[in-house]
Amino acid sequence: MSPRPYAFVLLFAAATAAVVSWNPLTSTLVAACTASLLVGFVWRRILPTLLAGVLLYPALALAMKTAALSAAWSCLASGLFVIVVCERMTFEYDASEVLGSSTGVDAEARSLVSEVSRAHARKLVLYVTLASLVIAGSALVSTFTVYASVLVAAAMLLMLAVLAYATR
Amino acid sequence: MLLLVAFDLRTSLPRPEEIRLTASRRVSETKALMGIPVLVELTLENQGLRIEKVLLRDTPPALATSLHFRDIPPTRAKVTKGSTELLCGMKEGGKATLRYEVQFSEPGEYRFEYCTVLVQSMFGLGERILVLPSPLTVRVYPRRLVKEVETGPAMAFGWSGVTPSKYKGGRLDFMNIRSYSAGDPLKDVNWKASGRLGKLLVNEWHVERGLDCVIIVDLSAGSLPRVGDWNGRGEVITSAYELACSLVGPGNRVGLLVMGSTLDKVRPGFGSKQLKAMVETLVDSREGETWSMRHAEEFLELFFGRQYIQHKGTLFFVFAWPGVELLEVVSSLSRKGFVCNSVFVDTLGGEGQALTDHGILGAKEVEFGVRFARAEEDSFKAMLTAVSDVYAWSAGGGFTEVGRKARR
Repeated sequence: MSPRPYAFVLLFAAATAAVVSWNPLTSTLVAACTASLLVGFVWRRILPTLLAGVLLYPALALAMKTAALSAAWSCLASGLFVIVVCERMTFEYDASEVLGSSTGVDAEARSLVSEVSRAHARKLVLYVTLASLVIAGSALVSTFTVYASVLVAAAMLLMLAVLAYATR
Repeated sequence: MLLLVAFDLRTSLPRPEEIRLTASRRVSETKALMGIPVLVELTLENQGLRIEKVLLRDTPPALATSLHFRDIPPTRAKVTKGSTELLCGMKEGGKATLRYEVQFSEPGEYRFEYCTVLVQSMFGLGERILVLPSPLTVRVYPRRLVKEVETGPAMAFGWSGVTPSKYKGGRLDFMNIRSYSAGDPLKDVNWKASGRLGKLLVNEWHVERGLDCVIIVDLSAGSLPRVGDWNGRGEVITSAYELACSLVGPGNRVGLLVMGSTLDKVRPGFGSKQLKAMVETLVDSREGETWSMRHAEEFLELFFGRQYIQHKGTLFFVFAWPGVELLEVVSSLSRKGFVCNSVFVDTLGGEGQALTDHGILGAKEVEFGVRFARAEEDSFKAMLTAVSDVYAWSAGGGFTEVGRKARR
């Protein structure tokens, strides 16, 4: 377990976004994102890593906007991608801090970390599924009314909020 | 993003009063030896609701005696195997155990105090920090590195004296052969003579005479080298312990005086109980400036007066670096007729290693510094030879004679 692959994925996405969109604003955002990502990765800091995601989001959305993919869809896809990769990367900071000890860890500790890691991955998959459902639901209902997507998203968020309150 | 927040907060964190986590600690040995790994097990038990993500952080134990110096980092045990952190999920009634091994570089009492527990939601948006007490004390003793050194009377370094040993029948001087009588130890049977004459004969020996001595250990902060959390106390104490073993083993009467932050004394005595008392005193000793070597003579007179004013005993000074006060006291006591021995503890190797480890100096600079320090050390040894016998001690190398005082 290491945050390195996720850092490479973000860097690759940032570089691709910079090349595809090819304008000074995107290049600046990608440069800032790279710097922030490196700071976060080297010192295992969560905030610079999340900042890198925030900086990458508009650049990636701009790059993904094509004839086939509208601005709204590219923003949603970019946002989802950035949230998932950054969240997994920051989780790996904690896991690698434990497992990356220079003097090693025992099998039980390794197994416990793997268990948490699997639970985290399951929860991320569930989150992506839910988010995709919200997006798909909004897109479907928006064919009937222009305000439907906003209404559906708000309703679903409200449901989650109620659920969160109810389980407290 | 809002969805993520809502999703993560759905599985809310338990309130502080709902978190029922307890930590219990176990070590493989509560009485450990320097340099020998000790296994630490910290078990976290959840008696409350299920927790998705728990990050447990433990702190290696610190030397309790060095916690009093605010400007000096406490000496901590070094983690040699495993990690001091554990990431896990805790079910209701579940347990998770953090295991790691530590090694102690200095004798003394080490205390584990608390561990930190971070209770988090899975995406880390909610977090509670708990500090759980899990106290435990480990007493660390010096390890006898050179077991071969046995200073039987007149055997090693001429450390023989005039006090009759508690152990009769020592093998100092052969006196006579006599018939075996019940109770004579088998080791005294002269088998060759018995075979020739056809009856059991035993050898008789002069009563062994041992030293009546006091070991004076200098733990003044000024004479102990210190680099970061490393200092020469461990080596000085190991050396004093080896010396005490060598002297007590053959039946000498040995006392101890430790000059440092606290003044520790053990009145002269014989045998393993005496050795145990001296080791415990050495373990509890603290370095510091309160009781410097300047006071050594008055304490000798105060605590060991009967032996040393009347009988003139033998003194062993154990130190890492001789300060002016030590040189003065050795000279003064030597002039008064005491037989003085100086044991120069070699801490330069450890100091050089610590300087390199802390990145203060490079290997070449350390090598140059050590050569310079050795030259300085040689001049001190020459000065000490004028008033005492001088021995050097190094970890693993034991005692070597450096110079003897010329006696009339």
